[in-house]
Amino acid sequence: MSLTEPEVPGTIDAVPVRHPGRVVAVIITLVVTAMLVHQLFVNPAFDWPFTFEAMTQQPVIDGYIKGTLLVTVAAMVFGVLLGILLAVMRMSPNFVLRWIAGVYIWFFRGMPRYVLLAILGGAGAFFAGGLIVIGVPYDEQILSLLGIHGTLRIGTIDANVLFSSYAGAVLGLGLSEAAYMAEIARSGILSVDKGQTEAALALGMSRSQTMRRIVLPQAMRVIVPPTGNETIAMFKDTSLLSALPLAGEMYFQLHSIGTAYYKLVPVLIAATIYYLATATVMGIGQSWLERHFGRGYANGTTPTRGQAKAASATSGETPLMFPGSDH
Amino acid sequence: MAERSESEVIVKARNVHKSFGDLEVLKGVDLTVHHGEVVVLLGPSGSGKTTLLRLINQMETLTGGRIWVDDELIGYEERGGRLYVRTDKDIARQRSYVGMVFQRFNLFPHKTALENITEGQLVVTKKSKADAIFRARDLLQQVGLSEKESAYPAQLSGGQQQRVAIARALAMDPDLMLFDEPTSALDPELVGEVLTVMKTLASEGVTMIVVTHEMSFAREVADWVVFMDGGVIVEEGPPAEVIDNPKEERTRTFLRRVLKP
Repeated sequence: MSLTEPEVPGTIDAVPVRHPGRVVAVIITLVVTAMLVHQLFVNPAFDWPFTFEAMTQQPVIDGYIKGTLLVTVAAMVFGVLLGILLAVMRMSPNFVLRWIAGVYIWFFRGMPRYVLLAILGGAGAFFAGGLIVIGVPYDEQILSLLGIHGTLRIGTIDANVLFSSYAGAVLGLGLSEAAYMAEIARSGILSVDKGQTEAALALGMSRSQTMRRIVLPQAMRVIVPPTGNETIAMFKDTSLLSALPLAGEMYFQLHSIGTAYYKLVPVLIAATIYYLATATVMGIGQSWLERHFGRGYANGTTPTRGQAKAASATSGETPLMFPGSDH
Repeated sequence: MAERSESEVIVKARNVHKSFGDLEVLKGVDLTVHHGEVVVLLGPSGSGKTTLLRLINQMETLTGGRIWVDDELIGYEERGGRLYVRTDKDIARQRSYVGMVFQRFNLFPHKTALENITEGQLVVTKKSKADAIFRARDLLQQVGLSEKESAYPAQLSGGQQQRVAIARALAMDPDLMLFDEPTSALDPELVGEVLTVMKTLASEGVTMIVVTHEMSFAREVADWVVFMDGGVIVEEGPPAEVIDNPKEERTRTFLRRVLKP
């Protein structure tokens, strides 16, 4: 070969396209961020010593553990269990059960939690003398049919005490949560391919075995991400418990300190720190759960139709099909 | 008519009707399957052959007629001249005697190949874990997938998934195996491995009802071929008659289409 071709290098060294708009955007963003961070240190409204003092007050810590964390856990457990029950009722062949579940979900999804809690706090007015009577329903009528005058009652509970306690908080938030969880559980169950149920039934498994061992474990992949969002939303919504009012709750306690000392900004910052730190830890827990229930799906080579459908349902952070995760 | 197996009857379907809303899919079908027989259901799509198969395993409920499996009326119980719907528990028991293989495999994606095969044994027949695993490994070896026992379905090819699905159904020791177009969802090069497993089962005397379009399988393996069209049985007999020498014009038209070289 007489003419030598120019040697082609094995690596590429090219001048990249400039993006001046992007550079301007970065500069503006950095300047604004710097201003905000600077304010954290120089603005006297951020009374950091007071903030940390407020955070470490015993009533605040107690309120965080009982009123914020424990109420979140208890309300979610209550909401998830009632939600699954409602989801099963919604899919029941029986019209009455389907309808009642539908009305329940309609009511509690339409009610703002703050208003719901305020009503619950004043619910003593619905009971004669503020007392909830426990016994056989329509006892006087039933007994009078038998020709007896009397009642079949076990005892009474003071409604005002009950509803403004932790029990009232769990009840109010849990009832509301169940409506959202019902829709999440239902869409999770519906996301599992019908062929899975058929395969399990064909082996001779019962309906409940099929649901427990085959359908629900697969539905969990769709149920866990929005339920994690629900839990984080629930823990933030414990700040609404002042509507009851529930005094043994962190935000209520911090707010009281702030108004007593005329230093509202530092206590709000204290609440912010608690909420952000907790949400971060919860987010880590959620991604662990998602990995656990995603077994058998990673590195999928030939996913079946059902798997592909379920996978696409969980690919977004919050799938649009869950109207429950928007509060 | 050619001579047919005289052995014990496993499936007896009489005057079977099935409608989905206004659509009548089966219009009075009679079918008899003897112990150890391989019966192939042929016919164009929409002819009702898959519906007939699904009725035998109660994936659908009958609109009319009766089906007996192992001399037991399925779905209903007859007492004092009246039919009583069977309980879910009783229906589950009846299903456990019949193995089913689906077009889309329907393996449990959250369980490994081995766990797919042990699931029914553990939950339905309540075998010990050791016994279930022993049987599952034996079956995996039979379908040539011993080295894949800890693979999840998503890590297996379609042909491998279908072979695991066959093993899963066999693990229940069924009296009868139903195959619903078992190779229709497979890439052409994977069809052979599934058909090979099915041929082995046939040679071992497993009673099988197969819905398929694989004419070579039907000709080679079937003892009895049933050709359906429009919700009725048009013609039935040994493959040498129905496939190679059909009497009915509709059968000839269908075969010309599927056998076209």
